[in-house]
Amino acid sequence: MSGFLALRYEKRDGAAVITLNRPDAVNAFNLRMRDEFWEALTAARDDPDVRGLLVAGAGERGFCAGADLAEFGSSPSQAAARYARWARDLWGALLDLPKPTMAAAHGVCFGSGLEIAALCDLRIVSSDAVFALPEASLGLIPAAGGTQTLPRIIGLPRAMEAALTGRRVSAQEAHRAGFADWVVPRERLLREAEERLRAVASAPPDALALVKRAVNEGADMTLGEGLRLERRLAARLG
Amino acid sequence: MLIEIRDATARLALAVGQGAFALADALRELDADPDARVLFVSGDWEAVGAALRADPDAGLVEALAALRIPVVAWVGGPCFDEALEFALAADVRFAGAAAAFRMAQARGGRTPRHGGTQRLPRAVGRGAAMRMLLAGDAPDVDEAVRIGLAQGAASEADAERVALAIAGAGPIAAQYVKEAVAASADLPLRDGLRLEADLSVLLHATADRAEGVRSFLEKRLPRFEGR
Repeated sequence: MSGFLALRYEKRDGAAVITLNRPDAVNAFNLRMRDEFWEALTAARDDPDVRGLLVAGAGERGFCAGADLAEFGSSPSQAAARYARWARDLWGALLDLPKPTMAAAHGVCFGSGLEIAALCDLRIVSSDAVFALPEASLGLIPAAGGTQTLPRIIGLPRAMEAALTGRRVSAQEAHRAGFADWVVPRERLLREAEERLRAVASAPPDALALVKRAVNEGADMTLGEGLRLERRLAARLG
Repeated sequence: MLIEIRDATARLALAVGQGAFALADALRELDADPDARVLFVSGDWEAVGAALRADPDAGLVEALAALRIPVVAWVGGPCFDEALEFALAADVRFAGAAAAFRMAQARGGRTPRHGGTQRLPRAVGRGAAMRMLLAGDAPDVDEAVRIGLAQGAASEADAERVALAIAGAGPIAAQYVKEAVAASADLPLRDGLRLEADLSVLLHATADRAEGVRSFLEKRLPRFEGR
């Protein structure tokens, strides 16, 4: 797919790879990247050849340094900002993609970088990756879902500490906390990420999509409701 | 004065003789005090446990849980039963070398009544909570950190430094972070994401957000005013 400036979109052997591609700015997430991410995500969702999605970051310094603060204050009003958040619900679309998603994070993974990784189903990180939510120290709060997704992955108190203090967390600690599913040396990150994603995506796509739905929707239900949902979804596969 | 405020940090040193009603009142007053950006709780946790047993209806744990500002707790000794229920209403807990944790009221024929059966599983997961609540397991410091009951092993001075760091964040932002993360335990994901987005947009109108972004771009420390 051509025409993207802030990211690359590639398909390799059943895996779609979105690479955040503003390496000079440590892939800081800006408005153009948001628009292109939406397009790439739509393409990955609608393409029957794509069985899984990998999100990675270009360049040596890191996966993503967070939102591009140079663009903050560019929204004409609070009402406009609120409208823009939901007009195209990018983070919801990533969360709900009916295919397995994986983030491959190296180096700096701050703010919305961490949040993008948290929106994926699985996370593989390089041993030099560093994670932090620095928003509150800048008078902001995480706004790509982090206040909701992170507690669901690592538990309420750890997420509270991370979001209140902005403390930098190593790949090893992220692994112990359950955030990083795998830690690998930097030079093996992308290759292993693609291998693991392909291994996950080799299962029948319908089953993967239904498991993902059952887990995500069931997390918000009472146990009884969740069990009924699981039975209903299982019946679809016969 | 039960609670002292210095450097935008409120400090509560738990001690024998502090009644649950007086503590609850002090916490409610603190919630209305614009000078406090964070509360640091340390001292004698067994004292607050005894106060809670003496006056279980003082609303003390509720008053701590209802604080809008973040609460950092440092546990340097035994923190059992009611005392641990109180500690679980803090946002971040650190454990000193001599810390000990237990939530074993049921072993004595009682049940937790200050949120233990609800906050403990939300903090450490159902399995670890059941081991503590039913079997009386008493995790040591390493285990407490591993299961997420404490967010780290730390000296009191190091834990206080974390409180001071939180006091240096944007005060409204820190309160909104606390509100949004705490709500994640109560709201379906969709509703939680709505809340997060609305709080984020509310911050657009604050001088602190503009100052935070400006200071970042100018590579200097921000000066937050809480407005």
